[in-house]
Parts: sequence; structure tokens; C-alpha cells
Amino acid sequence: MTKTRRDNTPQWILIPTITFILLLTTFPMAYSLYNSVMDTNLLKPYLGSTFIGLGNYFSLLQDGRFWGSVWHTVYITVSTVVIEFLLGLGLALLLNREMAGNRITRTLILIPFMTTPVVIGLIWRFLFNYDLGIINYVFRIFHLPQVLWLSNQSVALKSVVLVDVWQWTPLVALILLAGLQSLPIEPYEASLVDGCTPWQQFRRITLPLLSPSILMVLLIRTMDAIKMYDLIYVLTEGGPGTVTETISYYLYVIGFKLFYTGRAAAGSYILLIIITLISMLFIKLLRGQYQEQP
Amino acid sequence: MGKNIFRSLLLGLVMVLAIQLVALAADNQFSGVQITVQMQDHSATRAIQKLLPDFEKMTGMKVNLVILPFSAMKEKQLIELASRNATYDVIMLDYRDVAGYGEARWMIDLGQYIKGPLADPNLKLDDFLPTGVQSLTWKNKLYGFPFYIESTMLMYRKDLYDANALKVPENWDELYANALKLNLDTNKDGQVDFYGCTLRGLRAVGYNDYIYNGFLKSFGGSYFDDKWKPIFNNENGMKALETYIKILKDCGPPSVATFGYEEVMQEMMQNKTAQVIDATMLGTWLEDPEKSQVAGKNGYAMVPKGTVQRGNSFFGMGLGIPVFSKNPDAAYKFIEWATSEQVEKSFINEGAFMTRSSVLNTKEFKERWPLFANLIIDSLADANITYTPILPEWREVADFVSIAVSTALIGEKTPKEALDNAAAEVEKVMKKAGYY
Repeated sequence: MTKTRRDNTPQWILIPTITFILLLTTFPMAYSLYNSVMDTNLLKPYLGSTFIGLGNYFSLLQDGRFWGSVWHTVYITVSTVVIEFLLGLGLALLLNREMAGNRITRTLILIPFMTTPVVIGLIWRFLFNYDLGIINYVFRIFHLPQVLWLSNQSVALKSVVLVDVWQWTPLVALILLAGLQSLPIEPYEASLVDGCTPWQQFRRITLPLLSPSILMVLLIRTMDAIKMYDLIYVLTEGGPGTVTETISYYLYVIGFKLFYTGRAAAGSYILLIIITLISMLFIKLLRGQYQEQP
Repeated sequence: MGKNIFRSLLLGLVMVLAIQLVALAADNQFSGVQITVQMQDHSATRAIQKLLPDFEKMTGMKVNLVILPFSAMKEKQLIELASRNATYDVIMLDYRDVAGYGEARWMIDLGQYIKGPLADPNLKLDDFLPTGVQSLTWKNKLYGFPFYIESTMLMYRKDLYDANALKVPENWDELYANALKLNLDTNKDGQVDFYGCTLRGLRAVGYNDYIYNGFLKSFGGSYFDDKWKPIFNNENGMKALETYIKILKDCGPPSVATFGYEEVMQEMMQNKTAQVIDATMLGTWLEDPEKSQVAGKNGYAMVPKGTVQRGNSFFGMGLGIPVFSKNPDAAYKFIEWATSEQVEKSFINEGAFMTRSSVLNTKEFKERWPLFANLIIDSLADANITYTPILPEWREVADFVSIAVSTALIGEKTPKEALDNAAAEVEKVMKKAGYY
């Protein structure tokens, strides 16, 4: 009789991955959850840290500056995602046609999102400069009014949106283009036989078939936009006043300028909950999409 | 091939031996010791960097200089200190941080070295300007030696003042009147493109609040009453902020809300503004013909008065040793050297940021910077380090004041709303910190 020995190899192979995940995600998450219920200021080590339950969460929810940053984040997220999607879709439809110079365009539009956000921020800060920037220079040539891109309270946030759109529209276009190119040809042929107009084709065939890619790209961009920090840091540092402070930037101020680690951790958890809820919504929609298709 | 490797190995060995011999020859207890020094990117730092080889030869120690822009330096410094790392043996210490770092017991009290056997007999502590030493002292402990100190001064276009028969302003009203007259339309397109006066507008601690605090002081305003209740939103504070904003709105460049000291000085150097109030040491930029289009055309004067006194600010940086340093003795020797009379004398050519009266009062210094050498001395003598509160919570307090100045400047809030809002926030901070 041969004894079958249990083979433990799979478990052993998994151990590095599990350790890795524990160390890199679970531990920091648990530790910051612990932090978020403690009142700590690293600048005052002599005070130690005390347990205050949900105090950090409440103090944030009562903080006008935090709500301001929430509003700015919502504004940035909604406007960038909508504009990027519309422009990206248009761009993808254009690039999907057989046109001269298409290949080179496809490569060229990759440049913005291959560049580091910090570099992009610095470059745009030069472009936006009131006196020396090239944008106002061009405006001057055409006798248009000079714009205070980064120092006018009602323009600054729009300037941030503009830069983000410039940077991420190509990615949206690229993902949608990939989606377009993988669409089956048969429905289009059938629709031609049935005498569809191009608009009907787009509305009834392209959009529904493309919806998984659309949802995917909206999900990626929304999650990214909610977390926006680097562009703000380089472009405006949250100013003028606090009109361009996003949630992430304000949490950075709390955590790394004022060193209230507990409150910053609590803020991160609030942000995490928001992002998780939105992602769940998107994923649910995505699932629904896949189930509808045969 | 093999022979070549052997040869280079031998050569390497000989070189290592040679270096060790040189180090031995230096005959010093610090030979071979490595220290890491964190410094702000500043002309004083550049000057130290040039002299560093001499120091290394003299002591045999190796100095790693980590040079960072101001805000990055502070951020890195705080993170290292808060996590109790031995990364830096010497740090550049903002005088406003002395209270906080002192309370946290992060810095070594240099008093123990001054009395100890390591101290140089030529240290001459009382040669430092008293404000410099005072600014680095907290609860009778000295946490750093002054490395650079500055006040503020008015820098104006003397040629334009003369052409328009203007008088150097003694108070804010005169400054405002002069500024209005110097709002010029140089290309005749009907729009002002040369601005009467430029001041810092950037919202960041140490930027707009630095100059604004001088205004506050000039009107007799202060941050707190004697029970630590914020009073910077009282009548004096309001007058200060209204004056500041009136000057910038009527006579400043449109994008002034994003101006730090670099932008302010650029505006002056590129012949786009008639006058600025900024740090005393920045006059050397204006007179550098390589950088400045207006070198030789400028006049310098004390900052004008408000209702009570002159509105000049104070700022200073020292060099100190974190308690986590593994080589505090070597670090002390470095600090002593970097702030010594002899080293500071050799800086005269590089800038005007001196901290020792023996250097400020030399003929060399006055001849090198004839336009403002005496002014710097007077301005520093007039400066008052307690014009802003010295307390561990200053960072949060200053953040709110900086935001108030900025929001009022861009018109998001009126000066009254902005200051009241900041005062309410500051009161929360002080309450939480246990002042009442």
C-alpha cells in the first residue's frame, strides 16, 4: 500500500507573497487605523499619545478647512473625469480611423502621461506665469485679457483641472482606442444591412459594446483624481488662500507640516472609505455589463 | 591582464596607506570621523562649502554636506528628529523652532560644550549680536550658534525717486503715496506695467507672514495678550493687514499672491517694480550686475514706521546638534569653526548675512557693501525677536496667519473676516495645547 503524502509545496511557495502583502499592506493599514484613534503630535513627544476614540474623525468633520478640501476634490474629480472622458472618446474615435499620420500621433500623445507629475507641474507653472509665461504672452499678441492663472481664487482650481486634463486625456484615449479596436465587426455589418445611420451605429452599437472599457477608464481616473496631491504640491501648494487644497494635500499639511499623525491617519481612512465606496459602485456596474453580454 | 589587476590593486593599497598617513599627520582626535551636516541652500552655505576642504584637512574629519531648499530641509529635519534618527550630526536651526525642539529635548545644550575642554579659547560668544544668541536660546539653554541673521529693509529705485523728486518714506502713508506715483505705464498701452511696490504674497509660513509681521509690529500689534488669547485681529492687526493689502492691491503686480522672496527680488532685478521690502541680505542680489538689470540704481533705507515703530522683521538660523548624533564632539567642532570670526570674515565677499559684530564693524565689510552695510547694522539693532511669539505651537499659529493674509489679499475674505477666522482657529490650537 502506498501512502499518499500531502504535498505542501503550494503553501510554501505562497509564503513569500503572503509575507509581502502582510508587511506592505495589512500592517500599515492596521497601524494607521491604530494611529487614527490616538491623539499624537510628533512635534511634542513629551506629551505622548493618548487614546481618544473617534475624536480625530470628529475634529476633521467639524473642520471647515477639511470640508473645503473635500469640495475642491469633488470639483476636480468631476470636472477632470468628465472632460477627459469626452475628449478621450473623441480622440479615440479619430485615431481608430485609417488616417495618414495616425501611428505617429498614437505615439506622440503618450508623452504627457509618461512624464513625471512633478515635472509637468513645474513646466506648467512656467507656462502659467503671469508676466513671463508663454500663455499670457500669446494672449497679449491677440489682445486678450491677461489671466492670473494661479493667483486668482476663481481661476486657480480651473488651471489645475486644465493641467490634469492635458496630462491624462491621452491615457483615456488609449484605453478607449484599445477597446474600440477589439470590437467585433459583425454587428456593424448587420447594422449597415438594416440601414443604420452612423449616429445610430455609435449610439446603439459602439457605446454599449465599449461600456466595459468606459467604466474601467472612469474607475481608474476617478480613483486617481480623488487622490490628487503632486500637481497641487508643485503648482499652487494649496494656495492662494486654501482655494486649491485637495483632501490629500490637506492631509499632507496635517501629517507632515503640523505632524498630527493621528488626525492625518483618520483623514486617510475617510478618504479610503470614499474611494472604496466609489470603486464598489463602479465594479458593480462593470459586473452588470459583463453579465448582460452573451 | 592579471598583472594589470595586480598593479592597480597595489596602487590602490598604496593610496589607502597614503591617505591614512596624511590623516595621521593631521594628528587629531577626529581623524577618520564622518559627520553629516544638513543645511539650507543659501549663499552662506555655499561659502561654507568652498571652505570645507580646509576644515577637513585641519581636523581630519569628513563632512557630508546635505544641501536642501528651505522648506524641504525643514520637512526632512522634522521627520528625522521625530523618528529619533541619527541621520544628521549638525542641522540648521530656524530660530522659531528652538522652543519646540527645546521642549521636545531634541537638541544638545551647547552650554555644556562652551564650558567644556573642547571649546576654542577664541570662541568669543559675546561677539555674536545679542539678538542672534537670544533667538537660539530657550529656557536658558543655548541650542545653536548663530549662522546667519537678517532683518528687513526698504530697497528702492534711487534713479526714479530722484527723477520724480520723491522723498525716502518715513511711514506707510508716504510709502503708499510714493508707490502710487511710481505705478508706470512704460509701453503706453494704457495699462500699468511697472509697479510701485512689491511685497511677498505667497501663502506659506515664513513667506507672506514674514513681511506682514513687520507691519503688525509697526502698529503696535501682537499675536497674543498676556493670557495667550489671540489679539492679532484687534484694531492694530486690522490696520496692519489693511495697509499691507492696500499697498499690494493698488501698487503691486497682479500675480503678487504667488510671490515668495525670489519672485519679489526678480521683479526688482528685472526692472518691473520701483521698491520692495525684503531681507537685508538680498541687497547683494540687486547690486550683482550679472543677475540684476538695476545694479547701481538703487537706494536703501530703514523700513517705514507705522503708528508705533518701524516695521522691520527679524529672521535667523543657527547651527545645532541633535541629541541623536553619534559624533556630537566632532559636530561641535564643526559648528564652532563654521561660525567662527575667521570664517565669517572670509564670507564678506559672498554676502551680507553676518552674525558677529567684530565682522559687521570691519572696514572690509563696510567697503564691500557701502550702500547698506551700516543700514544692516542699524536694522538688526532695531529688530526685536519677540515681535512674533516664541512658542512650540508657532508653526500652526503662523500657518493660520499666513492663510489670513493670503485670503484677504485675493479678496476671498475681507481683512476682518480673514483675521477673525484665523484668531478663532488659533484659539482652538492654544486651547488644545493647554494654555487655557
